[in-house]
Amino acid sequence: MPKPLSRLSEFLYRLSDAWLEFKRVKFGIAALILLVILISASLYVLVAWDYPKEVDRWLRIQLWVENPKTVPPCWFLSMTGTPIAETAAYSFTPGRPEISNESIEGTTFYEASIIHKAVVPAEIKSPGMPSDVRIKLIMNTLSEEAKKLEEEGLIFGFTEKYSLVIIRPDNLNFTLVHDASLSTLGNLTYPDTIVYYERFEQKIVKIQKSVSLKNIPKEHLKAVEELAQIYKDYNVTTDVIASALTELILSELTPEALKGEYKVLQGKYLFILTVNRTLIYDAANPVPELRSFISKVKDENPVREFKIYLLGNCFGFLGTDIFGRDVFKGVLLGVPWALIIGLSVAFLAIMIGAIYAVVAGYVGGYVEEVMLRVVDVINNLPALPLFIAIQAFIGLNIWGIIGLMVALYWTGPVLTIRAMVLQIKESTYIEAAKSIGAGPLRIIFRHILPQVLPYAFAIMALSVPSAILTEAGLSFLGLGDPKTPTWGKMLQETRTPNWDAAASGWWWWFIPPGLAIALVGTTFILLGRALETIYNPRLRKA
Amino acid sequence: MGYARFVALRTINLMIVLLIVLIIIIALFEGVLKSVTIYEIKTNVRQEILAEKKQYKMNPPFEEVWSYITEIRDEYSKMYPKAWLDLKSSVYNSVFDETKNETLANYITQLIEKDFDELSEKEKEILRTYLTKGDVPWSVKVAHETTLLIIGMGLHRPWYANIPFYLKKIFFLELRSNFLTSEIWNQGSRNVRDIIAEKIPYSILLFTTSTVIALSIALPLGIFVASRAGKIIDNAVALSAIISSSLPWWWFAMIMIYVFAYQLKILRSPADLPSWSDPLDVLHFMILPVMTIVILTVGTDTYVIRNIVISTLQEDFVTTARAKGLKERDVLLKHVLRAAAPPIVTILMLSIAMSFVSGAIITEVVFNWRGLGRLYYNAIYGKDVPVILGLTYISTFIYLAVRLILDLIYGFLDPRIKAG
Amino acid sequence: MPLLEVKNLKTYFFTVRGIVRAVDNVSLSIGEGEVLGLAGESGCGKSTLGYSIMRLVPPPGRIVDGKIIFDGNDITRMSEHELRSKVRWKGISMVFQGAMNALNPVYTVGHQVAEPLIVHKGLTKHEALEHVKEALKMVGLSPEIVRRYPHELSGGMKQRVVIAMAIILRPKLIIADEPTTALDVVIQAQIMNLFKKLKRELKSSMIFITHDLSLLSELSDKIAIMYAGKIVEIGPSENVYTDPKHPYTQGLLRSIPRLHGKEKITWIPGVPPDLRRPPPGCRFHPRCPYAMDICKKEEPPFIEIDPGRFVACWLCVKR
Repeated sequence: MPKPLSRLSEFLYRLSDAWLEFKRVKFGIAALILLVILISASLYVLVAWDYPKEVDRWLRIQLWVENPKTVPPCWFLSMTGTPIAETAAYSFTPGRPEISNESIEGTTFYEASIIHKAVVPAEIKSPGMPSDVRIKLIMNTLSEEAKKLEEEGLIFGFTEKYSLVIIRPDNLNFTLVHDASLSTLGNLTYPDTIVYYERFEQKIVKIQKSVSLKNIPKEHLKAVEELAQIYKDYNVTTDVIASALTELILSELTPEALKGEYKVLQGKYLFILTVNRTLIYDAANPVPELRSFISKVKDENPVREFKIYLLGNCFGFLGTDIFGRDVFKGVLLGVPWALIIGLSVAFLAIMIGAIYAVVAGYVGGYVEEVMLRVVDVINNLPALPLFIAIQAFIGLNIWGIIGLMVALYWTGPVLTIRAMVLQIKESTYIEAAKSIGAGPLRIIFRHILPQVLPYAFAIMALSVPSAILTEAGLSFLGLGDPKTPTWGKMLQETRTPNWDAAASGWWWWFIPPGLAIALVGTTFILLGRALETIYNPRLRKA
Repeated sequence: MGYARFVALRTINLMIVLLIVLIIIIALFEGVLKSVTIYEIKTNVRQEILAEKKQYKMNPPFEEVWSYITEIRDEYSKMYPKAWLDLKSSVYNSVFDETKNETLANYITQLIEKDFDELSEKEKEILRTYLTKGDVPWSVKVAHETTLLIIGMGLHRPWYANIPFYLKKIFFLELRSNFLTSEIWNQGSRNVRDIIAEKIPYSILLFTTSTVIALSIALPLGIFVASRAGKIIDNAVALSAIISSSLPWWWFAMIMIYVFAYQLKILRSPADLPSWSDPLDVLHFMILPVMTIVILTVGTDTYVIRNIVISTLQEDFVTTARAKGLKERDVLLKHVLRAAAPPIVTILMLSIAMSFVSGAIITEVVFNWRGLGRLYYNAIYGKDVPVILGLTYISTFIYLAVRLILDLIYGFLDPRIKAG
Repeated sequence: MPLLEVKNLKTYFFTVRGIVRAVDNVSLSIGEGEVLGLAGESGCGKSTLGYSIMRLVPPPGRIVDGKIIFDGNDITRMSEHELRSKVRWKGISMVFQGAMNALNPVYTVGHQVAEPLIVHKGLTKHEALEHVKEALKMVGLSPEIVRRYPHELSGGMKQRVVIAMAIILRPKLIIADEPTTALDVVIQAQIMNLFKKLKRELKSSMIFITHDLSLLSELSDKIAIMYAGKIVEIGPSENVYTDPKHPYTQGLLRSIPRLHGKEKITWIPGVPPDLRRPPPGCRFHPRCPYAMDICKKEEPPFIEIDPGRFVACWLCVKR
């Protein structure tokens, strides 16, 4: 008599049996390979990166402000032969201040004018047209302090204005900003414009602005007029020039440029920022406050930071979105979530459903009837409208959404598994177990459930895509968890009243997340089908 | 006879499930329903009182106003505690609007807590002056009327007491939207029923057209592929079924738009809205959405049909039919198809019902199609709660109705049910 | 001229796991009005033989070699069209195993039994139903069931319907594939009586396929014993029953319980071989109590030891 196999070796034997059968199904192998790739990608993302920090960075849009926006991936530009413009940042060097201090005739008053300068030497090295020019500055401002002094009558007529001029490689000058005051330079409705004010005792002492050249209000862009002057023989309106301002400033000023055929002017560009302060003061009354103020004005270069970013026309593997974020990173951030959502919903829902079905099928009678009625009601509920309603009124976070999906999906396998249980129940070995005196729990868990589990696993795999798709749909409608970087959320961001990625042709932004969803879905369906063809009692025949 | 009984049973089943679903919705969203209803009541009362005010041109006397206040304070607040809080905030707001004086408004709000006899002469004087000034007495009247109505309708009771009331409201969609209005038929109406009803035909138009086209391709294709099981075309169908069931429909729609409307420019973009009263224009606009839905569903439908046909082909009666000397075409059409029809209808209709509710809805959004889906999106975006509630109910109803129809068709096709 | 002559028929199944030689070089003949009982274990190829005669072998199987001559015509060479219009059901009809599933659940009994009449004789449904009612009476059913659906009938009733369907065109040959296997013993007896009655009244030839030898004793004129895709013994039933020559036949007969007689019943040890890799030589040799050396190497020839009596066994080959 051969020795009975121990529990472990029996389990391993069954496992290898299943593996042999599984191998035969060709697409099972493909699915398994894909699954391995997915799991390793999520593990990599979760472990090798500081995942919470990366998610936080992803959600904080301001951090991406100096990245090129909605640019395609660089390999695509190489493929289509478009010249690539790299993203580069250039810092400033302070210039020497110009000070003039003239007395006003017949009085003790002096009129002082102090001009501080900051110069950024930028350079365009490739024939690729940059997608944008960004200006970042952090400046101290004395206007509030001046106001106080004005109220006290110590100074008069304080103005603080600044200008920004570009000197091109061909020595043409363009005035980007002319005599602008504190509050200009930047329109706050654009998602990529940042303005901060730092206050000290309720007075603004420092401003930080990061703004794209495209967002500078027209009134201050003297460059438009200057360009119009250059092109005066070509009969163009200022609107046409204004809409192509960045490109024109950076390219050779040929007639073709007006039609949109730009030839980038390569070489060194000087960005000169001047802060021009004028004030009138009474020299006859040299109060210490006045004196310290005047020396501040003269000696301190208000420019703390002045950077010019020449934003490239391409970025990374998958380009960038409207906020400048790396799309590839976004896709990677979503991988763990897709797997978590899909697997936890599938596992919990089908497990609950299977156990419920086994108990119902085994117990039978009145109890089973009631249990089936409950399943009937839940089965008849359309999932998405309910999800929408619940999310619209009670915004659940991602775990709540997962729980909700489990609550609606668990009834899926119940009817089929119950049918299987009914069949198994009639087998003689169940009767034998009962006659030995095995209690119902033992029979359920040792005899019935293990037979049902393989099929349940197949159904689990097949349920993963629906869970992912449901969450993606909810996020797309704006009803997902705003703090989790899922692919559905990425797709939602592609479509707003202000922009539409598909309509604008930003294919690198809206295609990858959807493709990722499809890929994960396909993997699990293939897996599920492979398992199903092995374990579904009805499909055995074919 | 068996069939009539079957129909009756199924319809009753549907009604029961619908009832249970509605009760679940009410239980879950009772808070929302209540505030929506109360808001409706308030708005109506306000309009009425405004008309009254215009008519009388004279403010109500102090005694009347005070009686309103004490009634709410002493009687109604026991039944409906919120009434007193509402009244106090009405008083506060209206006094503040009149006098722009926060302290005064606060003071008066505190004064009305007391019994009239406990007040000093000065306090009485203040109340007499301000409670009859300007709009103050009218807002007290509004609060009073509203409270009366709320208690009269029984809305102050716990949620289960109002189930019949809410049921009726939801079932007949007697709700008033927050801001959305109907656009097509009874233009400008804020009645949720109008808003939703006018969109239903459009959703049905789009979806039914796509389904009919998809099925007329899937049926012959499925049969064809079933007889060539295992060959390349069969694997291609299986692959497309798998891919199309793991794609987000609306994302695929975006791709279709990108490819056909923006790159190739041969089909109409969803931004180019048609004039909805011109059927030809609408049809032209419909080409891209219909094409998209057909491509998405044809794969799975064909695969389902193929599976059922294959399993039917293995039945013994098929061999019998061949043995009887029937031509292969007759075997397929008369025996295989006819026997496969019930399960095909079941599974296909089920998947169609489900995809209508989950897939097509969001797809409408991407295509700017004037149906239930886009209405959903607008309602969600603007947080128009009554419309969302109405849509939840209607989509459940439609889903259940489609399943009922499928059950009935199945029963008609399967003689095991027909003959009883 | 025999009604049916099968000469060296080979039907193989080409599966991914190998070639299954279900019918391997089988020859037999049946005269008009003669009943041949075809017996053997499950999986020996008898059903496949039956299907081959009607050219209904399901893929991946097909007839690889041999001839089937029915009523003077070679069926294996006929076009599909000829086969359908002349032979199927008109010349040869079949009663399938597990009749429950041979009937299409969505059509009435009357419709299905009438179908051959409509297809082959061009009758209208109305005319055909008259014949159907007669056929139903002949098999012992009430003619009213023409309007019933298969699921409304019991197993025995369904089996009779299938038989009625098989005789409706009065074919010359009826192949009955295990018609009683799925039925309980009482119904089984009734169906066997029906077959006897039909043999008397219709005088058609029959091939009665079964694994139960005891059923064949009263019905068949000839008996063929099949093992592992080959016919090992064939002859008039009385001879085979009283004097079986092949060890397999002997073993089968010894395993039938008898009402009278004191012999112990025995069984044949071992299992039938895998038809993909049958044993060399005589296929029965691993289980044969009389196996000799030559049995393991060479296949025994199929020889006529008496007129109409064939055996494939080295024991019967005179040196």
